[in-house]
Amino acid sequence: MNGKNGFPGPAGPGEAEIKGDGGGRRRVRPAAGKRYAECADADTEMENRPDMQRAPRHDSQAPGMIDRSLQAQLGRQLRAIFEGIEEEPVPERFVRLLEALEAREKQR
Amino acid sequence: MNIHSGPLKQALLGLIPNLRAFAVSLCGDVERADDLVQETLLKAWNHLESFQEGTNLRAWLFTILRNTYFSDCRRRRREVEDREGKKAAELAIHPGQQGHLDMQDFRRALNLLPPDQREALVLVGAAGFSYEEAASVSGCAVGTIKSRVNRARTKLTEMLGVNTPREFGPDSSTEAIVARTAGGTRLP
Repeated sequence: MNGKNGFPGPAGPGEAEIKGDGGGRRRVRPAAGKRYAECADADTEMENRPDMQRAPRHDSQAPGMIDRSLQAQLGRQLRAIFEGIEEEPVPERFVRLLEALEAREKQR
Repeated sequence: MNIHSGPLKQALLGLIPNLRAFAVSLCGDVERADDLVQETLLKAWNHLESFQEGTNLRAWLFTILRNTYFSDCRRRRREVEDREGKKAAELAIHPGQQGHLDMQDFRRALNLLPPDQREALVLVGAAGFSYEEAASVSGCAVGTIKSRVNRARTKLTEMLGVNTPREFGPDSSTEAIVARTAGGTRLP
């Protein structure tokens, strides 16, 4: 459940950077040059496959430089998920749990 | 105990919706999220002496929840890696496949982020924590949080292919073909 799983997306420069860093706690990073070389191969491979050519290339956009309106859009979706759950009523199991804990506390 | 159990119970009850939202965003699974919330409430109740009164109860609970989640992840690491690997192959969303930002796609993409990046993004982008608070919840430097948030955003954009929005997405049969193609083109 981390970046090392390798997403089958297109291998642009941004992807390589993320892959190298996404490993989580273990900070053993492979030589950056090697990663980029591998990804360059993957790019070539994709160019030779007509079915992959639909994937747009992001080379013209520096990694990390995301359009503001796009960020706002992503942010709205993230908050929509979060707020959607927040608006759900508190499940009964938690009400019962807290009542049980409180009752136990009072017995002491 | 610093706080009487009555007010504590009320305070915890009031924070449950927030905790659940965090847990679901973090693990992408409502059942597992509710187990995490339950464990968090129990730990909080039983270790109340380690909570410093006057500090942020919400941040303290979030810290317990995320620590529980990540130690759980470490414990099930192998199993999770295998399963997520398959899931990633099945569910990967190809850039440009769809122009509109579908909520279902967004959920999938969020779940495919490395957990530390997803956590940072949710804390800052949805739960309303400052970078400093998020860093304290995650137990890392402020710079680390900032870079995780940036990487999460970049990664989401790549996965959702929203750099080149189109007005209409492909129809479902095209999507099925694209999905199959995606499954067979994993990077080395």
